Amino acid sequence: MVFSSLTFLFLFLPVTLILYYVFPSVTVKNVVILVASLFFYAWGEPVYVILMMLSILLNFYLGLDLEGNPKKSILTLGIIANLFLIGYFKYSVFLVESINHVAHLSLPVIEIGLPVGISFYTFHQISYLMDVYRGKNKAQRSILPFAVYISMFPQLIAGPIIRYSEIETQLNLRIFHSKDFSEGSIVFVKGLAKKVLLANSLGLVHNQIMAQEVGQMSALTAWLGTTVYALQIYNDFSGYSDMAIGLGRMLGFKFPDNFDRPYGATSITDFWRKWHISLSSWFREYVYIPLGGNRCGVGRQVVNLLIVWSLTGLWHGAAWNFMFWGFYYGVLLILEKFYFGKIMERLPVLIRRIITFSLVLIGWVFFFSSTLTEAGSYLKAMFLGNGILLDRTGIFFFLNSILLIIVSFIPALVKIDPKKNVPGFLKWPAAALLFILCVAFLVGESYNPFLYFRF
Amino acid sequence: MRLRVKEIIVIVLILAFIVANASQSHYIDTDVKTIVTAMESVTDLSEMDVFTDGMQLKKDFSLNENDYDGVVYYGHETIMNSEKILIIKVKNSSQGRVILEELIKLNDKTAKLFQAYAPDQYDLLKHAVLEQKGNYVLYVVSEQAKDLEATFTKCIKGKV
Repeated sequence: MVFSSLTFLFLFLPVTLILYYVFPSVTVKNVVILVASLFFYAWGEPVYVILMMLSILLNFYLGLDLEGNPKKSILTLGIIANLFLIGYFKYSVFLVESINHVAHLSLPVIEIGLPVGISFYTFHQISYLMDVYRGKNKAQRSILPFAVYISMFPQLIAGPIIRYSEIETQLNLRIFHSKDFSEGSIVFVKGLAKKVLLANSLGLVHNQIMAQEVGQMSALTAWLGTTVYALQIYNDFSGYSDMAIGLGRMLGFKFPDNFDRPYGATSITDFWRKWHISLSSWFREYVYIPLGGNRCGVGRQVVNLLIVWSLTGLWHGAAWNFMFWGFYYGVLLILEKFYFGKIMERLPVLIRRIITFSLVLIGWVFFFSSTLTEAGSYLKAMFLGNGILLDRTGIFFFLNSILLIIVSFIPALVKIDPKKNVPGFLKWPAAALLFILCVAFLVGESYNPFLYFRF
Repeated sequence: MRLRVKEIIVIVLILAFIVANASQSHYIDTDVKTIVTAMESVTDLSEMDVFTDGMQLKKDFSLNENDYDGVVYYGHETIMNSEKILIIKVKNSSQGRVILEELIKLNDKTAKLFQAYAPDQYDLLKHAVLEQKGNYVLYVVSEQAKDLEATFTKCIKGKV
């Protein structure tokens, strides 16, 4: 089930919220969240609920074991078990196919369905075990709050990745204010509007552009296609994160922000402080720093950065193009850190923003292409335009989508805080209008994918 | 019960889940014509045209028959009837994924075209079966799409 579906908006959410608010006890509220979350998860593929529940149970026991006996061997077992699950379900086909390709073998490939959200809940559980081992937080002694932490429907399928320590207290003790509900619902509608009104519309434009023959694409069309995709993925994913944060708030939880105007970044380092914040900080804390981080020599730092960023790419999908996308950022960050960072700092802010955004656009080509060859052809169109700089098709797409592009840029550049940016008397009418518009779009629209679901 | 014992029990259960899941995902190597023969028992294919020369496949989907281990394509020459059955036995699953992605886009595009003036065809396309199982890609636009899909799955699991 997705947040931007009519079933979620008019059936699942109201029923869950009514049941949630009817019971005063936090324990019963946690039961409501858990049952609702399992139902939410099972909506698409019921069989993987069993896997998630077993995984929760294993990590719960390992957490308890680690607290009483903080041995590296137990932590290693926990990390291996979690990585084995994600490795088997997400990467085994990719691995076997790569071996077959490189070694000219024909090892049998078992098609395995990807359990939705496995990348997110695996990372939640690894960080939980590592934090218990490090003594940063105590192990949860009751299975109910732990299962709620892992499976809570607002963040189960596409994050943000929340550390256990960030919501440990809230899992057992939540004080409910009507303000939380009202502010949460406004943040939710903001995210829904980003997703339904902007991302879905941009997705249609992007599909139309991608339907053109890349070998005959003009430079204008190719750059426009990448820009539209960049805005689509931002509004899609940050919209989902806003909805998750808003839903969490409605249930009494405070989740950290996951995006902070990323396309206004003035460097690649800055971009990754503003894009999918919970993922980049997870990799920094649980992979980069344990590998030695900045404390070692330049050579080791370079290797560490390349490892971390290749893994970040691979986390997004089991394909070479995702790995290359991550590697590309690793290289950019190394160049910025050791060579061009100081030069960039001397440039005017606007120039730095344009350079950063252009580099990000190039990165998205690897992301939306199915293969590296496809990405190469698309980049050729962007930089060489197949000999055509401007053409009628490009101008047609440009004129048809320019307004949508401008509007879609706003949330990626300007912090929209309904509390500060919208006058009090307009807040609710604006939210209601946006909600009605979203529903109208959803009723008449068949195109409603969530890009980040595949991760 | 000791914690370590509980951990081992859960690990065993997870492994059992994986084995059961893998056995569900195991598909035998079968000929696409065998699948179509089984499908004939579900629906009457005689009303549909059989495209055997690869030209229609190229025209409708921009696919080259020779790139695959087997193709069966039933459909209608008139564009006003979107009913079709396409089964492709691919050489590897990554080739299948690329085809499936293209077929999904094409199906959405065709559905949009029909939305305004042929609601029955739009409805068929909206409920089309588009899936990849192992090295087989299935695309069915039919009122019996679900039954045909079930027959397809039985065939590649060796249950027919």
